[in-house]
Amino acid sequence: MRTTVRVAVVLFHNGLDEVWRCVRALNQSARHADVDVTVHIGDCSSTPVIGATEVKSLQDSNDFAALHYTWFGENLGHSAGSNRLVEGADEDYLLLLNPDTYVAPMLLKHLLASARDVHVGAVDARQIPCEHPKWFDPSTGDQSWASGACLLVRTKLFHEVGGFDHVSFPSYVNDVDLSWRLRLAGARVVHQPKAVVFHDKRLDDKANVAPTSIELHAGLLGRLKLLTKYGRSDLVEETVEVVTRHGHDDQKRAVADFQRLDEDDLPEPLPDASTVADFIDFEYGRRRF
Amino acid sequence: MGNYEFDFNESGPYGAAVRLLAGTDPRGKIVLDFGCGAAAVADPITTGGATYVGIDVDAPAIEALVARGFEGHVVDLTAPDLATTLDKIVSGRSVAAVLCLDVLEHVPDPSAVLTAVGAIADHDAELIISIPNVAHVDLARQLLAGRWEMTESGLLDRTHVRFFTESSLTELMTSAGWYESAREDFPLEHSDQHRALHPLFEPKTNVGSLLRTLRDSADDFGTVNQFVRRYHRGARRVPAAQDAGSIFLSVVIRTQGKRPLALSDVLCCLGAQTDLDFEVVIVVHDTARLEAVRKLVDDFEGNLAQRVRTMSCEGGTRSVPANVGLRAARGDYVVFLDDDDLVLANYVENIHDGAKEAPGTVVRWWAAEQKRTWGDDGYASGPLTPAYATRFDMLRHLRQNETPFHCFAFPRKLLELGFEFNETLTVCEDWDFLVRAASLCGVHDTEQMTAIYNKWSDQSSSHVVNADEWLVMRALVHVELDKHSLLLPPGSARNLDRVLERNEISARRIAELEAELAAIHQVSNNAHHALNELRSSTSWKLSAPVRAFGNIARRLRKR
Repeated sequence: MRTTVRVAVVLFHNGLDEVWRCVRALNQSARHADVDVTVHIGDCSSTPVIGATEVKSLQDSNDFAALHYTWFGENLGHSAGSNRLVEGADEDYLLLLNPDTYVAPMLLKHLLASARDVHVGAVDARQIPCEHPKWFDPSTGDQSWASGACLLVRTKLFHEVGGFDHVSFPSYVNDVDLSWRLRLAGARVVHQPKAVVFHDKRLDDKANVAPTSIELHAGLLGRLKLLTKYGRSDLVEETVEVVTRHGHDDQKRAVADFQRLDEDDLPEPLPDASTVADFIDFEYGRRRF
Repeated sequence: MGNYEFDFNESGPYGAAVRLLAGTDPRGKIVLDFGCGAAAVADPITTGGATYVGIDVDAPAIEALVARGFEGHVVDLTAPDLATTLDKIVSGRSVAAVLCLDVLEHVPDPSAVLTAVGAIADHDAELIISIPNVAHVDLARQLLAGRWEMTESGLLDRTHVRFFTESSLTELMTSAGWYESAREDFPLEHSDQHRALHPLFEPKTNVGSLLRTLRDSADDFGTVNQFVRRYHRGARRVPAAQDAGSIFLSVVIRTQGKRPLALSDVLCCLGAQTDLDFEVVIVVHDTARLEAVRKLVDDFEGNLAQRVRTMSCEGGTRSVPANVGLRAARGDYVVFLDDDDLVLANYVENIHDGAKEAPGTVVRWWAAEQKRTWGDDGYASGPLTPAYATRFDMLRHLRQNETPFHCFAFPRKLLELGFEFNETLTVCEDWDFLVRAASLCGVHDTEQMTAIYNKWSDQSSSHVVNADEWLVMRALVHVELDKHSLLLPPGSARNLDRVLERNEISARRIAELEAELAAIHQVSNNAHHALNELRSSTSWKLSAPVRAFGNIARRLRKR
C-alpha cells in the first residue's frame, strides 16, 4: 500500500503568489517521495484568498490526489483551522505546513524516512535561511519540541492527543504544547536536518527576525498559559515580574490580558507535565545558540 | 576635383591597402578602384601586374587619369543601375580585386554598392576597403566638450553621409556577404580632431587618462583612424535576432559540485523568491560533476529548474568560472552567489528596487553572518549577527573588502567596458571587481539585510587561503587599481578630510608620547651616569668596609 499524507495549510491574508509558491514546491516534493498527497487549504481571511478558477488551476497544475480549499468565513486561528482541516483524516501522516514556505524537493522523502521509526510521533524540518536555534540530538534527532511551520505527525497520534489545543493556544506556542503532549503520550519528537524547508522570514538591520506586535502579544500570552498548563506557576510569577519591569508594551498587554482571565479560562494543569516541559531561560527546551 | 588628391604614401592607409592586395595574385586581371579621385594607388597596382581601372563620379578626375594612360570611367555609385554599368565596364574581364578606399562613407546606401560589387566580381575576387572610424577616442572627447566639427577632410569630412564603428562595419560587410580575411587598420594617436593642451585630450591629465582607459576597455579600436581591411566573398549573413524579452537579474553560482546539499539550499532560497524576474547560471568548476549538478537542478519544480542554465569549465583560478558565468549572463544586472550562501525571499526584489531607485549603480545590501558546523547537514551553530551591516565606503574598501560577494549586484553593461574578473588572482577577485565597478558606477546601499554569510566551523566555505597568499593577492589588487584613475563618489572630500585629520591627530599624539619617552630615557641615563660616577669615586671605595659592616649588622638584627 502506498503511503498517504494529508497536508494542512492554513491561510490568513496570504497572497496568491505565496500560495502558488508553497503548492508548486510541495507538489515536486510529493513526486520525489512517491506518496499519495491530498492537500487541504483552509482560509481564515476575511475574504477568500483563492477564487474557484484559481482552485481548479491549482488542482490541474499539480499531481495531488486531491486539493481542497475551504474558506472558513472567520479567523479560526492556526490551531482550530488546522484541526478543522484534519477532521476525519485517515491518511497515514499529516503534514502541517505554513503557507509562507517553499519545501525542498526531498523534504517529504526525508521526513517520512525519519517517521519509519514507529516510536517517532512527529518530525520537523530544518528551516532556512533563518535556522531555528532549538537544540536537537545530532545522532538521534530527539528534541524537546518541533516547529509547526513544517511538521509531519502520525495522523492517529494527532487524533489521540486531541490535535492542537485551540482554546489555550489559538495560533502561537501551539506547536510546543502539541509536541509535549505527543511526548507525554510516549512518542518521540525529532528533528530531521536533511529535510529542508525555506521559511519566509525577514531580518532587520540587527540581523534579528523581528517579531510583529501580534507575535509579541500572543507569544507571551501563550507562554503564560503554557506555564500554567505544565504546572510552573512559579515561572508565571517570574515572567509577569520581568515583563512588568522590562517588557515591550505588547507583552505588558498580554500580562494584563492573562491576569484578567477567569480560573475557568486557564488551561487545566497536566499530570506528569514536568517530565516533558522544559522551560529554560525564557525558552522552551535547550537552544543551540 | 574632390578633396582627395593624396599622393601615395607607403605608411598611410593607401599603402596599407596596396599591401593587403599583395596577398592576392592580380596579374592579368583588372583591379577596380571605386571613387578613385586622383588615383593615388594606380601606379603601385599596375606595377603589381594588374590592369588598373579607375571609377569616379568626378569627370575631371577621370579625364586626368585617362591622360596619365590609365583606364577610367565616370560612374555614379548611387545610380540605381550600378550593377549593369559596372558589368559593361568589366566586359567579361577577370576581376582580381575591388578597392573602396574612403568611399562607402560617402554613399547613402553602402549596402547597395557592396551588392553591385558582388555581382561583377569573380568568386575569388577580393574587396579592399578603407573607412574612417567614428569611434576614435578623439571624437568621443570632442562630443564631451560639446563639439561636432565637420571638416574639409578627415574623420568628420563634411561629405560623409554614413559613419561606422568596427562593429557596425562588420555588420554591414557580413550582411552583404563579405567576410574579413586580413586587416591593416591605420592608427593615429592624434587624429585630425585632436585638440592639443585640452585636458580631455591630453593623455597625462587625469581626465584624459580616464577617458583613454574607458575607451580602450570597450574595444581595441579607440585610436584607429581608418579601418583598412580585405574581404572574401561568401553568403549574406542575416543579422542575429535580438532577444525579445529581457531579464532583470542573472544570478551566477560558482560550484565545484562537491556540496550538493548546500547547493540545494541555495536553490531553495532562489525558488522562494518573491520577484521572479531572474535567471540562474550555474558554472561547475569541474566538468566531471556537471551531470550531477544538472540532476540536482532537475529535482526542483519547473518554475525554478526552467530558469537555470548549467555549464562547466576546467582549471585556473576562481575567476575562471566567474568569467564564464559573467559572459553567459543575460540579465540587466548580475549578482554572484556561492554554493553555500543563503538569501532571503526578498533578495531579488531588493536588488530590483535598488536598481530602479539608482539605475546603473552598483546595488549593495547587507548580510548577516552565521557560524555553521561542517558536515552532511551543515546546520547552524551560532546566531545571526549583523557583521556586514555597514554602508559602502570607498576609502575603507581600498584597505579591505567589507562586502561579501553575494551582497552587491552590478549592471551587465560593464562588460562593454571590458569588465571581467582578474584571472591571475587566486583570491580577492570579488574585491578587485567591486572597487573597479564602484569607481565607475557608484554604489547604492539599499540598507536591507537580505543575505546570510555562512562561516563554516572547521573547513573554509570554499577555499583555504593562507595569510601569505592573501597578502600577495592584496598587493596585486592594489597594483592593478593603481594603473588607472579611480573615481571617488560625491562627499569624499569631507570623508578624506576627516580621515586625514584623524591621522594628523594620531601623528601629533605619537610625537608627544615619543618626546615624553625620550625625556624619561634622558633622566634614566643621567641617573645611571651619576650612580656610576659615585661608585667609581675614591670616597665610595674607602667607605666600602663601613657599608659591609652595616649590612652584616642589619642581617643579624633580622634574625
